[in-house]
Amino acid sequence: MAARKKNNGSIIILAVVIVVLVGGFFLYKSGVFGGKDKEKITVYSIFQEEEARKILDKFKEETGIDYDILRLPSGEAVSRVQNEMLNPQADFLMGGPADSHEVLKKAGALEAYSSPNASDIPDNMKDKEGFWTGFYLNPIAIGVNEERWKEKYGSDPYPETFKDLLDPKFKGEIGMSDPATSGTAYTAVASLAQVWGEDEMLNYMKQLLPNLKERPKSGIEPIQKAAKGEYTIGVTFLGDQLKIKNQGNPIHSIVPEAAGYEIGGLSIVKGGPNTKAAKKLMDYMLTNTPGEIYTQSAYAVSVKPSVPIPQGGIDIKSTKYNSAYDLWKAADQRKDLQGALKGLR
Amino acid sequence: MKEKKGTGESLKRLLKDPSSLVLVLTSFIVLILFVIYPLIVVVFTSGFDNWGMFFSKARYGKALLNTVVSSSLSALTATVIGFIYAYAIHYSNIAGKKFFRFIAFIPLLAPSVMSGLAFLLLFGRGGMISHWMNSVFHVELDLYGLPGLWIVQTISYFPLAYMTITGVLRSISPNLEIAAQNLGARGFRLFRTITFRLALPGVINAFLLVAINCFADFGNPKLIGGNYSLLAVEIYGEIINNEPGLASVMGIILVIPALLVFWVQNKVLSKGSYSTVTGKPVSGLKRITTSRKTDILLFIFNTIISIFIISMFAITILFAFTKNFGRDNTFTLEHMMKVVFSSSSPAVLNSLVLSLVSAILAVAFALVLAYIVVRKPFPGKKLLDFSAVLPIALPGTFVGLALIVTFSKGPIILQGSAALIVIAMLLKQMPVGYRGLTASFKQVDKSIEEAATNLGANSRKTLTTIVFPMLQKTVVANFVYAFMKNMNTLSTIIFLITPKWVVAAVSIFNYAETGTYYWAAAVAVGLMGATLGTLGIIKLIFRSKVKIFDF
Repeated sequence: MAARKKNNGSIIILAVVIVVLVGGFFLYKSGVFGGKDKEKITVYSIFQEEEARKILDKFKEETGIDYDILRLPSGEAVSRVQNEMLNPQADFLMGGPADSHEVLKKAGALEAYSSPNASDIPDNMKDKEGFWTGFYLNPIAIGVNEERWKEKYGSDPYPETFKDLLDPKFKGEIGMSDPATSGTAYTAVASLAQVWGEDEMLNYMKQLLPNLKERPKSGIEPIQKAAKGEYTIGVTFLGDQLKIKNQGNPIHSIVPEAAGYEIGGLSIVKGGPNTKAAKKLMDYMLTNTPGEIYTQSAYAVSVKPSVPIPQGGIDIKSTKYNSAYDLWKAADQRKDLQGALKGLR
Repeated sequence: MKEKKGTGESLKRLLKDPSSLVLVLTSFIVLILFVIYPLIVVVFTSGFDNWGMFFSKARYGKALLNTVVSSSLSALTATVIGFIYAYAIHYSNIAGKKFFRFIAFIPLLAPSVMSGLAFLLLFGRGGMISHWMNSVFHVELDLYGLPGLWIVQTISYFPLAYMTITGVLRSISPNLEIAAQNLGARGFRLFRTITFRLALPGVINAFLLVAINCFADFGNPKLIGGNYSLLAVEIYGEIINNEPGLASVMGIILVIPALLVFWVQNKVLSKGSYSTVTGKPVSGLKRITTSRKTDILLFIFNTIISIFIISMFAITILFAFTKNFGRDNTFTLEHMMKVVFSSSSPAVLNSLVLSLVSAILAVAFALVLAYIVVRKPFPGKKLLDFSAVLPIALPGTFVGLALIVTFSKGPIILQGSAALIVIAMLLKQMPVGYRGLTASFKQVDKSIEEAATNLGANSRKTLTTIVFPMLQKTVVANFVYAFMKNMNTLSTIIFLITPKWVVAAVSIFNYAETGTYYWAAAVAVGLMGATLGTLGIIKLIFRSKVKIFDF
């Protein structure tokens, strides 16, 4: 590119200032300044960014490792990590249902690491070879805005099962994220496919469509909008509902029969820019502090027995969730089921 | 001096002038690599299966239909509002014209997705105004889907229509209107038969511009569209689903109307127009203005639009500086500190740096291109010119899509680097500068340059000492325009974001989508602050040489 010289002193000064600032910024970004004490880790977070930042700020306090973060819905995070396998951008994948991590493990995009802190986590909540480790447990639930329910349906009983949602009176009153992009909705439909069979699940979803107000990309949105009174019912993870309820919103949650659950996982991206720091972060994540930060703000259940059930949280063992939910099978079926779901509408 | 013609001759002359040769070759390489090559890759990626898939599944057909319907509606209202707004400013005696011009300018400072955010905060079912309507009138506002999208796109694109139409209205000679008046035309008849007739090409142009912008808009449909699916959003979904083929098919479908509009603008409108679209005010007699009654109506109309725009910005600022507006109205700087001034959240800074770099490169490249195309003879000039202007017709979503599909696999891998973001922004803005600078170059008399050459200056020296200083105004104007556009672009770069290079528009979109409204608002305020600050510095340096804050 040609040099742009001008006969104007101020322009030259401006150009120099810009070049120095921009150049400095790029060097700073690539970690030339500061050396080791300015270590950085790159995290793809499927957690809400607020929670991820809370944990990462604590991690930064303890280890001095700063972070870059990009929040993504789980579907997007999976394809991103897969697409970047030749040139990995991230070190650590935080949160998101375990079947997403399972997909990445199969693709060979993850680094195996069994943290010493993972020893007390039950075997069905972590990968045997250490490609991913569970962090929390969270069932699908039907969340009802009690105020809007009273306005619309008076003293009718709340829906108890998924099939109750097919009632035509709920037309335009239900929000559920798009199973084709959201891990949340996919967990729900995969569990239904396991309990009812695939055809019945598809048939069910087809019947449910007219009642759905919208199918947003991100899993938490339906309950946020239900809480704001944009519609009455949001189908999301229980943790998201409890979180919003505890902010003072009139939400009543029901964990229906055949509800799947997510095991929120953690994994290390293979060949990322700072795998060493990623292993440190994995160890740190499996201590009690992050578990408490997360379960307290997200109202999920920690996979670690040593982390207490948060105040306002509920013990899911008392509900009728699909305890036989096979997340490995869900991961296998993902592409087929999502393809079939896309044919609806 | 008579120039010899012919490819051989021009090639020979080019070889004798090495610095020009370098410029020509670089330009060819850049344009072929980043414009032609990605286009070819996208066309090949689309594949027959995917075309079949697209036309066999109802989901996509519906998205296409929805996109056409919503863009046409939004473009229609934006054009009508833009026309009335501009007419009021140029044809009436209303007070506060300067204020109204300023109001039409401020939406340009913010990404269009900010309109979507502000709309959610005001009219979402939990929003301020809908809450108030519900408690006072027991009316339930439900604007998600087409109605909300229609309103938001109208508001975010009406300034574009307003500016285009302003250019045309200013170029209409008052003499014609006075002549018509002398012949007996009055009031609405005068407006209908003369003013509107003369402005029509510009109005159509504005409509088309807004329509293609809406057609490829990504942020607002994603935020407010709800179940009302649109093509740009479907493309995003397919990229996420790792289906570049399907995404490419939809990308190509997105491009077709844009290319048609581009063609119409270039061929049809320029032939059938009654007045030029230069935007230069026409000298002559004093313009006939509207009656007192019309003035009042126009004033009310412009005031309503202004209130609408002001309230959108006000609610965003309120959310940015309070704990959780509506629930906890305590003033706080916490959100700003967390997402704007934090080393772990550099989105606004990233936007600023990438936009500056890209704007500088875009103008520099446009300058080089304009120079060689206007001044230097070389073979393949038509192709170079075509591929330099082409990106102007490509929707941002498509540019981003083409770059990510092309450079994430194959011989050249740029995915994950900031370079791709810079290039995407550059491709969108360079053609605008190129067109402007080509026109300016043609106005600079070639004999001045030839005199310099005769005095022994080579082409680099001629360029830097003669040509560039004469083009300074155009260069700065284009730089400012490109910078502002870059700061606010979302659809062009949404596919290209990396964790290290998250930009502000994407953050606003992400936070708005996940309901973290105060963070979205804080980033929006930070972004506007950064844009204003930079423009202020440019203004300080160039003072009267550049028009930024003169409306």
